[in-house]
Amino acid sequence: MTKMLAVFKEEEKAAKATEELEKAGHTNENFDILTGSPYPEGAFGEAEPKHHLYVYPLVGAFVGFSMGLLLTIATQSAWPLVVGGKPILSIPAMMIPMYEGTMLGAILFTIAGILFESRLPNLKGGLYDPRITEGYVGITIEVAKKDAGELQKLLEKAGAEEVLRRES
Amino acid sequence: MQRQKTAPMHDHKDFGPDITIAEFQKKMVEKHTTMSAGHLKLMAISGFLLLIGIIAIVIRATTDGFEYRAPWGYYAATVAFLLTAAGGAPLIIVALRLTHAHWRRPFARISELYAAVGILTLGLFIPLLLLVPTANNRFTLWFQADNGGSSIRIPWAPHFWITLLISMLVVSGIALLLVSARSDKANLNDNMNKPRGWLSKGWVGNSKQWSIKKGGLTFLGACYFFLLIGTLSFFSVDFGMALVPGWKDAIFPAFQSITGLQAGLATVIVTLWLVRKYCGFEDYIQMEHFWAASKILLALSLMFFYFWFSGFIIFWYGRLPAEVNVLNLLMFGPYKVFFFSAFILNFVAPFLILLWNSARKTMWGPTLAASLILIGTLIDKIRIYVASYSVDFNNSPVSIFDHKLNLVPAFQAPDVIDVLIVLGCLSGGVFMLSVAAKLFPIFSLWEISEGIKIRTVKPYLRTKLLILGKPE
Repeated sequence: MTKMLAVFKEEEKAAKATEELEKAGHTNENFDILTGSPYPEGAFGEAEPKHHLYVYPLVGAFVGFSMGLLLTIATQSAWPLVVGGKPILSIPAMMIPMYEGTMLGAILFTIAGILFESRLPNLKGGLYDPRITEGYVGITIEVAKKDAGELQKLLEKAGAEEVLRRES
Repeated sequence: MQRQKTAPMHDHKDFGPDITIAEFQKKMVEKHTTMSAGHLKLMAISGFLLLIGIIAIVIRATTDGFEYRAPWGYYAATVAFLLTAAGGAPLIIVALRLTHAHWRRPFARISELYAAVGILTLGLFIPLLLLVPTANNRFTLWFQADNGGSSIRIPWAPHFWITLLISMLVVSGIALLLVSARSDKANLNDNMNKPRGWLSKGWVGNSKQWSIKKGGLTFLGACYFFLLIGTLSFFSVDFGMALVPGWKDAIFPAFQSITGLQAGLATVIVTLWLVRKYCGFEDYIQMEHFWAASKILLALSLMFFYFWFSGFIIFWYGRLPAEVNVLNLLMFGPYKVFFFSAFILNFVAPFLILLWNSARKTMWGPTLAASLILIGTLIDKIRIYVASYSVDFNNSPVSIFDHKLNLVPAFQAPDVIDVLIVLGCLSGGVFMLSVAAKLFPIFSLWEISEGIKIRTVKPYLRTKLLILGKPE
């Protein structure tokens, strides 16, 4: 397979290039857009990014809440004195550890989610051109080796200043 | 023939500089890489004062020890102030991002950088743990007063739980800063032809990374909000209210949380003004930013009054025998000047300043109001914590286990060590901020670049209008 990165100086040309890619039979799931600052979603006709980040804080919060609940149940059951007619398991006193457990779980899982979903730390680094941080727009696409030459021509014709290639 | 009057064209400069993303980023990289003499001087002076403050804390610990709380009142007030003002600052950008306020962009990084002050606050908080007894058999939030009504056993209360809470607040604040600054660090490294550091390694700016970054900021921001409210509430109860017998006020924790929001915004506004004035960012920080922030500051000042009055009227009107001395200690006794000063500085003065459009719609008006709020917040913390800690001294007739306060101690004036501690700790906050501003760009490059893309100025009849695209 060949991974390609086409670098465009003008964003309009990059948007046009994605149209050309689709005309050539590549769906928007095949290519990705690299930019130095965020663009409105779908500005280049790219596919909506898929990730499961929202699951992490929810799972973390649930795990943390359960831990807080179990801890407070355990400690109160270990000292089962009834004083002042209050039940052994009194919710108001359990609330702070449960709240803190929930928050701890939510934060740790969110940070883990960000690291995992962003594939951090990515020590290898992907195909990249520093001009992208200066405002250029990059289009990455992976194709079979035999189609790489044709695709490079297509991207250059669409206005790419340079097309970088990496064989794998 | 009478000459037809035409309205003057609106000055384009009001809408900010007409600049491309590349030009903006180049300027910001230049600014960031060349450390100004002023920045260096600020770091040196604040670092030196922090060192003096730390020495003063060590002297206080060795001469007075941790047996009684009275000598530590000013220290506790300073920690509470840092927790409130610096802790509240990152929440401002969280709220503005959640509400998609587009004028937020110059505020973003300044607000996030205050997360670095949290590390100092956490360090300064540790000695306070030695001054507060366990919650067993005391009337606290922890319901561990066996002789009073409950059999609940929450282990390690309150020490472990409040430390965990502040630690979580610091971790989520730092995570917020790192997630936000990751792309900017990549930008800086690329522009300076330097190899990528640990934070920016692997950043390519694809659509998934941008999406995760924005989602991560939302989730971490939500966590930060919940943690800040909890931290300010529990800190004020466990390290303030629960130390004074007879002081039972359900509104007080909420009041302290509100002051966190107000002081946090005030901190960001004052910093924004200083950055504009002394770092040469006049083109990027405009009146519209102060004007927009001033409306929220006005609303928060009104909320301060609401909570202040609610807390006040219940005690004052109720005047229960057990509460008379608490009233005297905190409001009408030795600290009455502080009590009324804080009310004037946190509500009356900002309200009067921000009420008038001619002051609100300027840069100096909101900055003046914000400065007064910060002074008022510090004074209020001194009132609360110095007064609360002053009841515990050698041979004090007041016990933490009492049901009512039997004594109103005299005003505790700060000694030289107290002054050095307060000055050193506050300077420590400035030091941490200036170090963070050296490590990360003071403007959120990705957020301002995004803003440049979606705004344009167009002529409309005799004026010009800012056209803003809202991608969401």
